[in-house]
This record gives sequence, structure tokens and C-alpha cells, in this order.
Amino acid sequence: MKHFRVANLGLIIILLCTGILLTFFTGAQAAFPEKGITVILPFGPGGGTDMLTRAFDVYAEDAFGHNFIVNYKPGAGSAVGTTALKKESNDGYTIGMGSLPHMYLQPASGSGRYTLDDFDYIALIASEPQLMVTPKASPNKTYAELKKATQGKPGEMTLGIPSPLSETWLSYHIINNKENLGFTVITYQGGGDMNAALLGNQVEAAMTNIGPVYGEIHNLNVLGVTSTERVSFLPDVPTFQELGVDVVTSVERVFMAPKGVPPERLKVLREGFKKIWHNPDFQERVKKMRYGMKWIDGEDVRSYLEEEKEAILDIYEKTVAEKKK
Amino acid sequence: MNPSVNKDLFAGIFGLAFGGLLLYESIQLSYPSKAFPLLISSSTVVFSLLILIFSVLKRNVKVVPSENDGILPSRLTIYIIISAIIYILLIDLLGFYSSSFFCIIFVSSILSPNHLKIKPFIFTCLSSFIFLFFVYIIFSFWIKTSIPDGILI
Amino acid sequence: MPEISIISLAVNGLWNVLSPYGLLLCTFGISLGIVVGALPGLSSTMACALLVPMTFSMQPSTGLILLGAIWCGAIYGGSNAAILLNIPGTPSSIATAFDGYPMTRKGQSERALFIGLVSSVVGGIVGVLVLLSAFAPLAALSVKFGKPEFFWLCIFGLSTIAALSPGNAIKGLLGASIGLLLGTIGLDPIIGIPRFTFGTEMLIEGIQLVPGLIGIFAFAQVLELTEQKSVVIAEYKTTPNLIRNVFGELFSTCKANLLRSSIIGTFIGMLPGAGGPVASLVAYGEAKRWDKDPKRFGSGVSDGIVASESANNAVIGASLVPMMGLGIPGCPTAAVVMSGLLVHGILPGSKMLLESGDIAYTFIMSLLLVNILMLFIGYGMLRLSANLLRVPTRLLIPMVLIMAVIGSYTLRSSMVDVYVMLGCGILSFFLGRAGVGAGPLSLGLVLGPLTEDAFNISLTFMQAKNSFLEVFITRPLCIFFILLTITSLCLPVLLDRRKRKKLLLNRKRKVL
Repeated sequence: MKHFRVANLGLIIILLCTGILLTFFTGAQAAFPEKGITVILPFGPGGGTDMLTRAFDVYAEDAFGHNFIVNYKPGAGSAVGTTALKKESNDGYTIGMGSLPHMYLQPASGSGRYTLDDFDYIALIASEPQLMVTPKASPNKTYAELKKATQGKPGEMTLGIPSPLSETWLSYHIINNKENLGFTVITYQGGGDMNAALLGNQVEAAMTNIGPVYGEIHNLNVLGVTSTERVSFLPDVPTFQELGVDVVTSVERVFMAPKGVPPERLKVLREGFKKIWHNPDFQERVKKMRYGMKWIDGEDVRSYLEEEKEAILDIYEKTVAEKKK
Repeated sequence: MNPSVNKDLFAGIFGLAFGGLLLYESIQLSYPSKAFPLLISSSTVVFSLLILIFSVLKRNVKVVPSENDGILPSRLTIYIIISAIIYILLIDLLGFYSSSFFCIIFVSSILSPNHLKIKPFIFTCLSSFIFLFFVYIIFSFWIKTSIPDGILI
Repeated sequence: MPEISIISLAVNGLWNVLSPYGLLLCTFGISLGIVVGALPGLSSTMACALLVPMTFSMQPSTGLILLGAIWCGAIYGGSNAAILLNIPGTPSSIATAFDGYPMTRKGQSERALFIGLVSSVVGGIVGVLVLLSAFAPLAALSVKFGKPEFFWLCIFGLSTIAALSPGNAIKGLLGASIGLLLGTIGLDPIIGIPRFTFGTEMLIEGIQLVPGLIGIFAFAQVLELTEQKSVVIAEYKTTPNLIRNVFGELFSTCKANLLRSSIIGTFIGMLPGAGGPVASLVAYGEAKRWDKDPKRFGSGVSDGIVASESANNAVIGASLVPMMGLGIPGCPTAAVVMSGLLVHGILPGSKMLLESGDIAYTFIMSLLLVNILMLFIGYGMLRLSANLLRVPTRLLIPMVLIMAVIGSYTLRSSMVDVYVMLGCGILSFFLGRAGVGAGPLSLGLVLGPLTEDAFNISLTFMQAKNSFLEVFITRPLCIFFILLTITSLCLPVLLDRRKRKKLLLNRKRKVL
């Protein structure tokens, strides 16, 4: 019994010492940021946005003196996390990642209770085009063949997309508006789910981002990519513009904070992210993960988004109105 | 009255109300999002109706009433529910750690009022302190959850 | 010859793991995993996600060893809280609580914990062996399993309700449909519009599985304990000859159950999306259905723990099958483990064997070793955690309440999840008093989103193909599951009738 008491006493002393040390450390610094910045991710752990944020995190200590604290708030294809970010305090210690075109489409559909006005933008950091693919076993190995196969039987063929009201939804509908493919769209719960359907030959085609399918791309026919130029690591895949369909879409990621961050803090955030993004080591790292990178300074993001928004909402209204008919 | 009838009535009426409400709501939704809720809410309504019918049929059967059988819990449990609600509301006001500390002290003293003497009280305080320190190490220090803080911590 | 190279890769992998550093990582990971798993709200996914940044600076294979160890530990750790407190630490250990907690109440907590440990280890090893022997062909098979098949699998899972609700089958069905309905609150999965939110902004976030389950089990348990008014949960007694006692039972009377549940876990784990909770609930239901005396389940029998724990640990190895074979993460935790590979530029999938086979096999062999090590570490921690029973209920009740709050908050740092937890807890407590058990309710909550997704996608396919039969019925696996559901529903009734006939015959003979 005596041993017990001595051990207990020792434990308590150790715990108290740790506590005192902790308070000591947290009280020592000054100047923004005094502590780690919390990044709210609107998607779950393990996805592309998670890995991108973690790549920034590797260099966060150089830029901000602290590592990020990553907070996952998945749900409703990023609507939950983005709405939650709006309500966070605007002291600069909480920022988040936003995705486009989600941020145009979700407020329009009612799933996201926010607007572009609710945020201060730190930077636009990444941009990736979408691919149209078919399973290896499919008889349609090029876009021309697929288009021919769809004609005359509207709704009979199926096309998978990984999530509702996302970039893939948008890019398919833009193509469909121009080309009248008339697929029945199957909405899966995420890239892995859709990839399984594709590899298992459950759907006849899919519209997807590069990330989820890249590992098994040799088991798929890639018909086209929605960028203006061919993707460097997929040199054989034609762009849709080359195929005669004028479609350019992309999913873009921004870092942003709730509206009203003090200007000097916003400046620190913008400069910190700029420093990380332009670090050659960082670029090397994201290249290894085959991320499509793009940079727009924080001051210019807002006007860029407004421009894009108008065109995309136009397409959204048309598509939804047509469906209601 | 037969106590198990009382239980059946509660289950049936609750299921009917909940299922009916969602059934009513889902009828108003548009096609793809209403298919599944429509199916499930209507089956909820059917099951609750079945339970109600059986409970009416069983009404005449006599069962020996046993203790602890009604729907309503003891008064102590209701106090605990109320203090849990107050505790959760206090988190936003006072902060997580301080309201948790008060919660332990308060709940443990309504659970056993005869521990309110000085020595057991100090024991309660000490153990809640150690427990919260453990919570702090895991959630605030390691996981870095942004635990809500109010006036205090 | 490819086979020879696989064997040499496996041996090499084992050699890599057996270094002192590798063993140290395994031990650290398992212990951490057990602690994290035992806390409600902290899942294996979150534990792994927290450690992924740590693995950036490690070799890819060492990082994977650590993640695998935490994962196995967490899934086992979930059973500790389920057995001792009736609070599943992870959604995978819901079914463990059904029989584990009654055993604790009977004073057999140590035995229950050890049974859980040994079955976890056996299930885990079966899962890893399947992964080791044939992940490439099995992965190709697993993607053939489409949404219509998945829908029937969900229906089959729901058919275990009969097994989960002992008294009144209709109340069980009511509980499950309430659970299914709760899961539909929030944004709908197809077009993303708000549903059943009644105009509030709060409910758009929806009712998530983990806060819901914490409410159904932990908060309802707080109220249950208050009702009981006992000083401690149960008396803590040590079991004499624990090791011989448990091993003797598991490998004689529970042999068939152990094997069957591990196979169920492996099969369900291989399907992308289903995961541990479904596997352990189905395995529990089947164990009860095939038992000679199903009525004893729920009163604290070892078979219940064996079924649930061996199935949920078998899922780990199996859910890596589609990831290793085709780069498809089988469950959220696998997705996190996969991101640990991707940051190093390694692509899991059919090319992995050629490009980085050494890493793949080091990981698989480390899982095997982790399972064996877990037997010893788990045994060491077993008495420690059983000491929880010594805490008087007047302190335990508020502490469980606090853990429930912080556990549901941590998931998404959202107070809404705490309110959801509270609401589900109160609902579950009153429904429990009305005879609607927590089992069917949680089964509905677990299967709700999965069933709805499979149902909706199958419906869309049906529109495209314009044929109900072609999509829902005339696929070989669909027919298989439909038949399985029908037999599993009818079998108990038939067996019961036969038993009654025999009894009648015997009585008649006696009378004569």
C-alpha cells in the first residue's frame, strides 16, 4: 500500500510540473501568430485537400512559427465546413480551405448558408481539370466513339460522378449542354466509391478529378481533359478543345478566413502562404503528389471569383430549369 | 392498468408522431431525395400502428406488475437529465473545463448527498481535477481540439 | 516466377519489421491505439489522421507500421469500454456491448475482456492472412460488387434485427426504422438539398453516426446507471486460471463461431464502404441465429463477444484488399493510411507490387506481427482497464457525461454534434424504457446512409435500364443475398417449430 502512495505522489508531482511548464511556454511569445493557426477542412481526412493542407503544414513553421491545427468538418460536399467557417471568430487564428465551384453552387441550391462576401481571401493555391473516362472493357475508347454510342438513346447510358453539385457535376453538364449526350448521372459518395464502380464496370463512363483515378489510370480509357493545355503527366490525353468541344473547367482551392480579419494579420497570412507556395521544396513535394498548382494573390482572388461565378451560375440555372421540365 | 400496455402506447404514439411528421415532410420533397425517406417513414407509421393495435388487444390480459416498469424514470434521473442540459448550455458561457468541474461536483453531490462531508468532498474535487487534467492532455494538448471557452477556460 | 518473388518479399518484409525500431513502433502504436479506441468519439480514423504528419519524416514503410499498429489497437480498444461500461469506444464494437456488459455485471469482466482480446487477435490474423495470400485477385472481385448487391446486403444486415430484439420483433423493427429515419436528416446525398431540417440552420449538418451512437449508448448509460442506484457498476473479481479458462473455451466450444465470424468480417471488410460496424453486427446476428439456444444471447455469453470482436478486427486486413489491389480505400481509416503512402509519392494499386512491393509486404507482415504483439500488450493492460470498475458511480456518471460531450464535440469541433448526442441519448433512454432496444436503433443509424445510397443509385440504374428485374433481381449475387435473407428469416421459425414438435412427441410418449 505504501508503494502505491509514493507512486501516486510522484505522478502528481510530474503532472503538476508539466502543467507549469505548459503555461510557461504558452505565455512566452508575442506578435501574430502567437499560437498555431487552425485550418478548417470541409472534407474528411485522407483526401486530396487533406494532403494538400498537410503539404503546406510541413513549411508552416518557417512561415508562421507554428504548425497548423487541422480541423476536419466534412459533410454535404463541403457545405457544412464552409458554413461553419463563416461563423468562426475573425481574429485570424481560424482559416479554412474553400473549393470552387462548390462555393458558387451550394449557396444557389440552399445547401450552403454563405456567400462569397462572408470571407476574406488569403490566396488561390491550386487548380485541377477534370477527366472523362470509360472502363477498360468498354467498347468506347475515344470521345467520338462514346458520343456516337449515346446518340439516339437518351438516358439509357450511365455516367458516374463522385459527389453532387461539384466540379465534376458542372463539367459534365457543360459538355452535355453543348453535345447532348443525355447520360443518366449516377452520384456516388466520393472518389473511391466511384472508382470502384468504374473498375468494376458498373458504369459506362465517369467524370472525375485526376486524384482518385490516377493510380489505376492504365486500367481505364481516358477520353479527354477539360483544361486548355494537355496535362504534363498525361501527355496522350487530348483536351476537349482539341476534340472540338469548347469546355474548360477546373476545381480550384482557396485559403480564406471569416470576413473582417484585422488588415495587418491578413497581410501576415497572405505573405506567409505566398512564401510557402513559392518555396521550391514545397513545389517539389506537391509535384510528387501530381497536384495541379495555380497562384492568385489574395487581393485579386475576390474579383476573379466574381467573374467565374456569373458564368457558372448561368449554367446552373439552365440545367436545373431543364431538369424541372 | 397493465404496465406493458403503457410502454406499448408510448412506443406506438412516439413512432406514429415521428414517422408521420417525416412522412408529411418527405411527400413535399422533390423526386430523388424523397424516395428513401418515404419508404422508411411509411413503414415506421405501419409498425407503430401495429404496436398500438396489439396493445389494445392485449389490454384485457392481466400481467403481474413489477417494479421499475413505467415509462417515467425516477426523480433522480430527471434531475440528471436537467443538469446535463444545463451543463451543455453552460459550456458556451463558462468554457468547457470550468463547467465540467462544476458538473462533476454538482452531479456527484445529488447522486449521493451523504458524501458532502469535508473529506469525501475534497476527494471528489481532487479526482475531478485529475480526470480533467487527463482530458486536457488528450484533447487539448495532443489532439488540439478547439475546445469552446467562455468567460473562464 | 511471381510466387517465389512474393514469398521472398514477404520474408523480407518480416525481416524489416522485426528490427528493434520496428518492434518499438508497434508497441507504441498498439498501446496508443488501445487508449484512443477506448475513448468514445476518438475513432481509429482520427487517431491515424493525427499521426500521418508524424510519418512524413519517416521512411514510408515505418510510417505504415505505426499507422497499422494504431488501427489494430484502436479497434480492439473499443471493446474495453463496451465491455466495462456498455459504451462502445468505436462504432465497430457496438455488438460487443450486447453480451460484454452483462458479463461485467455478473462479475466476469476480466474473462470478457480477455475473450475480446483473443477473438480480436484471431480475427485480425485471419483478415491479414487473406490480404497476404490473395489481395490482387480479391480486389478485382470486390469491385464487381455493385450497388444493387450492396442494397441487398444492407437488407440482409437489417434482417438481423430479429436477432437483436429478443422480446418484441415489431418493436425491434420500429427501432430500426427510427434509426434509419434519423440518418436521413440533413442534406440529401444525391442533389444536396436540405431535408427534414424544419428551417433550422443547425440540422443541415445532419445527424452523424458517431455523436448519435455516443448518445444512444453513453448518455443513455449515464441515465441507466442513475436508475440503478448502485455504488459501483459491478463487483470486480479476478478470474482464476484466466488464460487456460478462456483459451479452452474459445478453441473448443466457440471454434465454429470464431471461424464463421472472422470470415463474415473478412468478406464484408473487402467491400468498399461497409466496414467494421456492419461486419460486427451481422456476425453477432449470425452467431445468435446459428446457436443451439439463441435465447441465451444478451445475457452475457462469450459467443456474443467472440462474434463481434473477431469480425471487426478481420475487417482491418480485408479493407486493405481493395486499397492494395486497386487503390480504393475500403473504409475511412484506410483512406487515411493511403494518404500516408501518397505523400511519399507511392501509389497503392495494381502497380504497387512491381514498383514498391517491399513497402507493401513490410506493411502486411507488420500487421501480422502487430496482432501477435497485441495479445501480450492487451493482456498487460487488461487488469489496468478493469480497475475502472472500482470508480464509484457517483463519480463515474458525471465523468462519462463529460467524455460523451467532449467525444462528440471533437469529431467536427461542433456544438451541434453535442446537441445531437444529447437528443439521441434522451430519445434512446425513453425508447429503451418502452421496450425498443438500443441494438436495433443503432443498427438503423449505421445502415441508414449506406442503404439509402445503395437504394438511390440502384433506382437511378433502374431508370436508365428501364427494368426493375435486371437491376434488382437477376444478378447472381442479388439472388444469393435475397435467398440468404429469406432463409435467415425463416430458419429460426422452422427450427423452433421442429423443436416444439419434438417436445410434443416426447411428452406424448411420456404420457403413453
